[in-house]
Amino acid sequence: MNDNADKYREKLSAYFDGHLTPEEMEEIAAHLETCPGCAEELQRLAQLHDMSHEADFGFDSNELDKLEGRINDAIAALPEKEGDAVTGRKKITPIWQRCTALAASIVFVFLIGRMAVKDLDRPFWMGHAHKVVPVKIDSVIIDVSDIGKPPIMSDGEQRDVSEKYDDVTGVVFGEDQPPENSDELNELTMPEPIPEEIPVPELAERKGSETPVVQSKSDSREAVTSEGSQETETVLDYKKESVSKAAGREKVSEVKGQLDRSLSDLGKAIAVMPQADEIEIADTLFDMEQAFIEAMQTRLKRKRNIYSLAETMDSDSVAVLTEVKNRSLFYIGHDPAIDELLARYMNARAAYELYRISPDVVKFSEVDSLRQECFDYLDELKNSEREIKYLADYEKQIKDWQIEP
Amino acid sequence: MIALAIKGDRRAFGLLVKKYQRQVLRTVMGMLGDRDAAMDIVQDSFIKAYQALDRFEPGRPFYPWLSRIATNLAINYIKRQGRQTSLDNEVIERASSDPGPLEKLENMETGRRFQAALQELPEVYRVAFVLRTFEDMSYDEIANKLGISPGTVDSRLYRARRILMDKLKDLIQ
Repeated sequence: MNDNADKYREKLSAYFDGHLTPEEMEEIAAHLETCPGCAEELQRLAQLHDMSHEADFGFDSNELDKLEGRINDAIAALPEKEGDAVTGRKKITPIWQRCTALAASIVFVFLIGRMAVKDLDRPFWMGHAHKVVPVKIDSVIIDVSDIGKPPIMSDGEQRDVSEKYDDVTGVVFGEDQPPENSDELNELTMPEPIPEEIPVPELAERKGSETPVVQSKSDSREAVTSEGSQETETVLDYKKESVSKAAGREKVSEVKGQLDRSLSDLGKAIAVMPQADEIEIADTLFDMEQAFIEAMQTRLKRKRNIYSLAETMDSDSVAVLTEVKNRSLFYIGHDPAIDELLARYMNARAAYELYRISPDVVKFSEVDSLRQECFDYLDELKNSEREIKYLADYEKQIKDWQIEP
Repeated sequence: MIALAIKGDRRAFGLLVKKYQRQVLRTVMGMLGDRDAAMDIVQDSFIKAYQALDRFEPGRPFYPWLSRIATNLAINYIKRQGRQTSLDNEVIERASSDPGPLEKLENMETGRRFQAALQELPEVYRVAFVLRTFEDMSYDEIANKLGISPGTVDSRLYRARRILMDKLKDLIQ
């Protein structure tokens, strides 16, 4: 270190942060050329900075989950804000929530069932009676027999629904699984073709009802793809058109409305996704929303031709939006009514299986009652005006199921 | 998503919590050095953010806004606790030379070593360092937040770094 080293050394921290005048920055830079000691000190400052990024204070995912739960609980306890998106709407338990309970119960009873089936030669209630917890059948949704077994469709085929049923969320997936990370999503790879057997419903709000309406397979697919491309075209059209500023503003407002609606739809779609996908989709949405708003504000501020907005709204953002929307629609491409029906059916079947194994735990009347509920719901669906895809397939399977005391 | 949250969609806000809680917790923890207090402050920050969402200017990035709320709450907490450490040379000297529990931590991985060293810093240095390093705040922003001059920020950062480098000298060569 040379004679002036101490003087410069005290300024290295500010130099590292770029918090010096240009003259001082130049002076230090020149000094660093001739003073290895200060150059090393600067290197150490950089190392310290890098090291700071490794500090996460050891919060593990459990603690973070708890904190997140605390925050969400606290926010849920707050009075609803004016204009709250959920105010005045009938509260419907999301299917994923219902199915989470279902899945947990299924796993629980499935394990018991498996244990029981495995030990059928030696009835499990003899050997493991002390492990059997009396179950109130009306509070637990269970299944034993049909897990992993494809339902028989009216065409006689066995269709493997289990592959498309997410155990945790109850969301039905196709072969196209969620991306592993957001980078993958950003690559703008289009989703795999929608499998033939997965109906893609229109989102509820567009139809003005709370329950998604299932379209015919071809219509659904068209709805998904045409909407995405229509949005892209709308933006691209801006570049071509040349109209008045007032009309331009109207167009911008229209696009903003489209985006709002898309975000609203996506919000609903996200509600039925597994948590990991939610984050990825949310990340993408943050970026898209940000890019859109910034672009609009910048352009309006500069008072330039409103149609140059389209240039700033880069086509990647639109493509990502389209991609996300397609994926989202795809992921919710199942009918909650069928979920509900299957849940009731599995519930009754599981009760019956349990009854056959251990009649002292479940009474036949309870099984019969659950089965009747399943039939009632089936009739309700049949009598509704909605078109429910594959209802006939499941009806056959359910009606064929006989029980005897 | 922010637009939905502003409209009162709690689920959308829940996603913001999920996205940012780790980042904000890291900063607050760095400032306070107290896990329970840090988690309480982070919780309060999100609640305040939610209540103030209608004042959030759409189009601006969300995290800096949230971070401002969180760091203000953390600073208020520090002030309430009356834990401002005096800045006399004795304190600095002690912090710089006292190996403290670090001797026992030689085998800790770098991140944990750094955390331990950071938490041994006098609070005024630590807060300035965290705001600069974790939150990338400018000297002026830190000065405004802490009610001190940019020159003092400069001085605190210099001292914080000197102490940290000294404590971590076996890792920083």
